[in-house]
Amino acid sequence: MSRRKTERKSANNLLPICLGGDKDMGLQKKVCRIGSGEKNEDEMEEYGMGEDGMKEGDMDKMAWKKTGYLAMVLCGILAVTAAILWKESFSNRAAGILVGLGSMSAALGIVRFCICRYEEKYPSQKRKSEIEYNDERNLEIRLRAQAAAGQALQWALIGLAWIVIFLDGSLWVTLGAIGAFCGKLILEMLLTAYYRKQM
Amino acid sequence: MKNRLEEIRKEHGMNQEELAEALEVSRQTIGSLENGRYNPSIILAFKIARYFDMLIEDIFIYEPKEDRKEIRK
Repeated sequence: MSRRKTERKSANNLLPICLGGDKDMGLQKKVCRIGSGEKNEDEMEEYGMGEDGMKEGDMDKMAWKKTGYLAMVLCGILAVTAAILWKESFSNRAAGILVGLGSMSAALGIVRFCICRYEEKYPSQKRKSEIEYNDERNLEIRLRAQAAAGQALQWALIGLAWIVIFLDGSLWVTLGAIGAFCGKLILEMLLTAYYRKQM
Repeated sequence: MKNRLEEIRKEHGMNQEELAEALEVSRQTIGSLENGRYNPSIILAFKIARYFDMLIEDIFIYEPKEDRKEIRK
């Protein structure tokens, strides 16, 4: 028992302030305790955080974001309403585009607004999801998945072209599939050259 | 790459969640590091070493033979 107490004490000495320890790591820029609900006024002042644990600059950004999302919802609703009420003034294509874009804008605005509200209410969750998103392993997983999906889709296009040829299908489909394949290859070469210079 | 991360973490009486929060990575990353499925970037390796006040070589064990096997794969 005493041995465990000693170990915990030595662990606390190494732990950064944000985890209840004594050591000022310098590495820790953010205050974990605030994210978990405990508050330390000195640390909050140092990092420019408000009482709810959010940085003061973040509050303004949140307000602007919420206004933007509400505007998106409003524009979306207006577009759909205009397409329905003034059907005769628009061609079928224009009305379809208005309805499609309007619904997408409204739906996206509502979802993003709800996410914004949730993040405002639970800043620790926001921080966790930011960490998850920017985590290097998750980033590498995403990049590998995107690259593999791109490769698979590229060869699927060639497969599609062959299938259309065998089925005596439209030439445009074949040419379109081959064009997309070549376009992807060219883009890949350009990006490789670009990243080679950057790195 | 083999490492002593789990052993060192337990010596300090921490769980994976606490270590992940301190290093600003996900808990799954710590888990993958500990069982050798994922190799950290040099920056993360330095962060871990600094956090425990140790050298990178004391935490991560580099074996050239294993590295050659991975390249061949």
